[in-house]
Amino acid sequence: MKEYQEDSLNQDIELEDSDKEIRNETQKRERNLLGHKSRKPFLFILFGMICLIGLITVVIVGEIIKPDSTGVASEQGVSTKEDNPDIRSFGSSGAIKEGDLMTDNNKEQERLNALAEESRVYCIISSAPYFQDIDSKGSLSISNPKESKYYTQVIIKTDDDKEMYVSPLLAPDEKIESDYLTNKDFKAGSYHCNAYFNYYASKDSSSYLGSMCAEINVVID
Amino acid sequence: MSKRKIFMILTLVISCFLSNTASASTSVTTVNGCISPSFINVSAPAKVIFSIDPNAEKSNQFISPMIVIENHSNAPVKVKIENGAQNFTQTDNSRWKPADVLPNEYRWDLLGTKESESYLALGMKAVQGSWRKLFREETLYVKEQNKSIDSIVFGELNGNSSAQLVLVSNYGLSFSEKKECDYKIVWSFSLAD
Repeated sequence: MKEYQEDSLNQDIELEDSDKEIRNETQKRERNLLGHKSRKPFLFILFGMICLIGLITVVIVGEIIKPDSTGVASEQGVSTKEDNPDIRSFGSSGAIKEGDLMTDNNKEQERLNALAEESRVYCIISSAPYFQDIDSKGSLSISNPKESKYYTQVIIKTDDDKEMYVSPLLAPDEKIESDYLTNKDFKAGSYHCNAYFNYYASKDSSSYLGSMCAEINVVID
Repeated sequence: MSKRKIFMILTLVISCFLSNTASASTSVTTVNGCISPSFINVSAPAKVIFSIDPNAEKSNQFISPMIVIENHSNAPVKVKIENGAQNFTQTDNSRWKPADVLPNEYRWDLLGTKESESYLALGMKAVQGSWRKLFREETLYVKEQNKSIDSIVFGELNGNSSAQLVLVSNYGLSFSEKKECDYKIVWSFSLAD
């Protein structure tokens, strides 16, 4: 019985010891935690100081690169002001007109009509030039009237694209009443031909404007 | 019988004799008519410029001049475009060279910039009322003419008169820059049948 009481007493003592150890450990942890808590205010203060320094820097830099009244940076080329730009001073170029941006159709139509009319070209030729023989002059009756503003050259070709006649370049108010065929390689007969009138703004080929064509019937007796 | 009566009788007899003699003879008068061939004397604009304003209202976007063909001849003339692509085509100097297409090939109002700047359906239409005879009332598009193996006859003009044609076009509405386009038309004229 005594032994049993001693054993239980010893066990109680051991339990008390382990309780003490646990308490000590807990106290240590609490102390550590108390130590961390005591550093937090310092961190807050540090963070606050960094923010304050940043803010001061922004204000100073902002003063240095202060934009002009429109929000466009003056010399440093950086725009920082995006809202509420001031009205800039402006000159009077007379560019302002009443109305919307739609094209004035009538004026545009008149302008295009005038341009087309200015480019009017003329095509005058006998519908049936007659040549008594291949070596005789024929009645071509080609004309570039005085109303014309352009030079013209006439090239007569047969239906199978064989060249029969090439005229000199005619200025306005010039004509060819009769002329020799430039290609003598044709027998007597009636030839259905196209007389191409090529128009030029000057005596230079590069000033070519366009062409017209007259269907004619060339007769060689 | 007095001398006077004898003179009158003799005058009558002689005149009758002379008239009988005249009716017995035949007189032929040759009428030689010399008719010169008619001149073909016509004029038309050599240069036709059109403009497209994609920002305008639909009906005002395409503006082109009236093409007036004048017949200064006394004879009526036929107006046509011969077959061959070279007779209705963009000029070599045209700064904008879109592909010529037919109007039904695209939904024009849906085209973006790339397609708007790549395709154009340009045509020409005779204005009714000014022609002696109008053979073609519908629009002739460039692509159609280029593929035609026959000449396209628009109509005939009376002597000393004029007739009008207008350009017609289908186009996209999205352009990133200004475009200018030149076309040449080689008109062909002949005396009317």
